[in-house]
Amino acid sequence: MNIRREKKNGVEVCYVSGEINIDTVADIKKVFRKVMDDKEKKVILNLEHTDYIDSLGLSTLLAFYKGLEAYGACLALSNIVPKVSTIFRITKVDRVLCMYNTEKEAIESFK
Amino acid sequence: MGESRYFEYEKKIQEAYDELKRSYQEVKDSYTEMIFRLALVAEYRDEATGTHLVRIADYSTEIAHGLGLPDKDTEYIKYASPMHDIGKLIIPDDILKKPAGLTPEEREIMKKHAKLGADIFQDSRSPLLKAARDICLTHHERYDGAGYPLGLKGDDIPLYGRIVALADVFDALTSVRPYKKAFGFDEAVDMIKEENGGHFDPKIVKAFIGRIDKIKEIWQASKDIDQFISEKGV
Repeated sequence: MNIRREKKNGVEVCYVSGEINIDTVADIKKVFRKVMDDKEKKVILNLEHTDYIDSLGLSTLLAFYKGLEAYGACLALSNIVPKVSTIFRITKVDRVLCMYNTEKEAIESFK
Repeated sequence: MGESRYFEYEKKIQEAYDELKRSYQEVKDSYTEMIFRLALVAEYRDEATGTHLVRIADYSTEIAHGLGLPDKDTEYIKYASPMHDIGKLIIPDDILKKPAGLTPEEREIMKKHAKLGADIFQDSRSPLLKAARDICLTHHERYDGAGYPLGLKGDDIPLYGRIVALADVFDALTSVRPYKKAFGFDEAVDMIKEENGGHFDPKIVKAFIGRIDKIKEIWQASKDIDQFISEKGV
């Protein structure tokens, strides 16, 4: 798993590659913590290279969403591969998190 | 062969390899995506939650790690375990959705979901779908031979079936059902231990207990997800 941050048009984009799972969430949480410490207001998770997410991964994403929401920030997900979007759908997480086909659409959504 | 020609060949081989790898990944992703989608249909009919499917995959994967299974086998169990109840698709609604108190005849029909699920994957050549078949057919077998549908005993029960049997029971114990409350984590673990050598293979129980910290993390995470989703009212 690898996670990289990049600023684009005032939006914080995090690129996650590999699985978001029980063995990788500790490292992901550290980055999420930093994003929140930096008080980023508009955050996108680009999941183009995330090929699986488990229960720990889902709860970590939801905790991140709540943490951002607590100081009025927004989270959007983009470029989700079908296998992962199926998992979002069956767990109803897709009904809470904002999801976009492309990073561009996610950035547009903040305007 | 000139050096530039050699590098040209090497580049072409690498490109062909990358293309093959990409195609393989696409096929694999489609397979696993379809498995989750099919499992979802069965769960919708049974009105259980999708988090159950993800938990079954997570618990089974942890047990596989505890047993020290090779990565390939662990991957098969991760993706095939959510299919365990796919046979419920073929069980009539009036039996499947009856809240409690099945008659003996209805219970026998309900038990057919194991064989019906296995039939869906019968004769597949794919190792993943073969694993799904084993899991569907044998996840209600018991190590002491008192399970169904075949009454298999001990190591005659395929390993994948023995793993998912424990994962499924543990998840049922820690989940609310129309006819029962959810047992607490420690209480459910004690109930699993009591069935060591009875319902469950002692090797599987040992692997499960060996990964108990991870199992608890999964249990807690899934509770957090369900709570979050219910708070949002979706």
